[in-house]
Amino acid sequence: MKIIRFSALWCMSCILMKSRWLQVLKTHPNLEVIDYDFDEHSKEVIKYQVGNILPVVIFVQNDIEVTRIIGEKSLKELNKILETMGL
Amino acid sequence: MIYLDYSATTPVNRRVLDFFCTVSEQCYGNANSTHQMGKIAKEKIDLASKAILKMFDTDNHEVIYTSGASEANNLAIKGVAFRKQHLGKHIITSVFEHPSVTTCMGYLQNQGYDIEFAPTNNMGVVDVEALRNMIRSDTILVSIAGVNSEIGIIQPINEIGLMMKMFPFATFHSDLTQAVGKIPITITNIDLVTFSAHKFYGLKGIGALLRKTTTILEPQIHGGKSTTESRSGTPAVSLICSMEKALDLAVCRLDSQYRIVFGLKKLLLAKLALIPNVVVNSNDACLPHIVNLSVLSKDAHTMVDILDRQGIMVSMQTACYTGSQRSESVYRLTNNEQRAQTSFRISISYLTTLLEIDALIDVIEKAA
Repeated sequence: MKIIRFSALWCMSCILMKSRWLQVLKTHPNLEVIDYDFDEHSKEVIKYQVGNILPVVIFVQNDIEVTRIIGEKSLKELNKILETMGL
Repeated sequence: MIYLDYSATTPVNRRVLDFFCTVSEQCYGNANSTHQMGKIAKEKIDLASKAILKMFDTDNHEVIYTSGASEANNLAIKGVAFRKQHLGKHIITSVFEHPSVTTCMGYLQNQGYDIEFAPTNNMGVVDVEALRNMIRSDTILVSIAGVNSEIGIIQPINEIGLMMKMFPFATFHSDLTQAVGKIPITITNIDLVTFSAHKFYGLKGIGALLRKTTTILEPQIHGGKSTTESRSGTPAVSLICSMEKALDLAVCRLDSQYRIVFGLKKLLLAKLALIPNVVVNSNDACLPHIVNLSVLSKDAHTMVDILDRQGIMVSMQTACYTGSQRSESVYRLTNNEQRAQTSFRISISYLTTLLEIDALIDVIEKAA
């Protein structure tokens, strides 16, 4: 499973969420992370149909999108989402 | 035309502009040159710096002139972060900062710095005790703006500065761009202070970072010896002198101008309270110069357009909602999506008239 993250330097929610993901990833070292900058990677923004709310985290398995998390979530919510996905 | 966007920028004071022209004509030397004209220019800058420091009542800061507040914020934040990275990478800021601060934080986070946000109360004011508890042995910087630019929340920077004395290893930076020339300020316990001239009737293109002499920064602009080691470049003598003049005028008239603005805001709020569908997002902890409000029936962009078509200029902010007008600051303060989507900022000045307020109210009333 890999996660594709879209964020922007100016986005406060992205800063908050990156800190929370850092904690989550400590307990999920098998998750591969690919980061895209909303302002720099416009091709990927279009490809993955990133809407107008940041950050966007897309879970991908075998090149198929499994689910996506949009905007801010608490650490508890993040862990619950991962748990639901069996991760 | 009715200009109600004074927090974005102010019209230049005629005396400031005249002084800028005089200095430009008479002191065109490069302050880095060793000849007579260079020395005259250098002397002018030294005099301006002395006067600025006197107005801030400090003798242990250096004035680093910059192109404006964004550059000063970048120099302060990255300058400290890069210089002190061997001591730690933990930085604390607030959720009510200007994008030039927030974006620096995002940039540094990508470089491996640990960015945290200080908790605030229901008025948006930083909880100093909670902030104190967040400081760790690897905290290198705390950056909290004196006044939020969008809603006008005033932060207890004196209290934070005093508290920070307990942690001499951490630098305290405050972006005072929206505070200077509007409210009395004490910078004794602030290591780095940002401000910009065009917010207090000076010219655009000049600002400053006041640096406590014990605070060392990694320069962000390299290029040889100048008036300061922290920032290279040919000093803009006439802009520097004009900023000192603008600051002098703003400080001298601070009390009287504050009273005018305070009265105008009171009147504005009283009139807004009578209009259905209008919610004021600014609160009692805010600067009188800024009134952030929501016309709940109209999104921010539509409302700003309606006002603009009637010749009234206000502004709105954008944040994490790309391509839309949602206000991050209003959402953080109110936790209300509708208010965040519909909020816009009216910023008034001592130049604002009662007739202008009436015209604004008239348009809002019809639109709401």
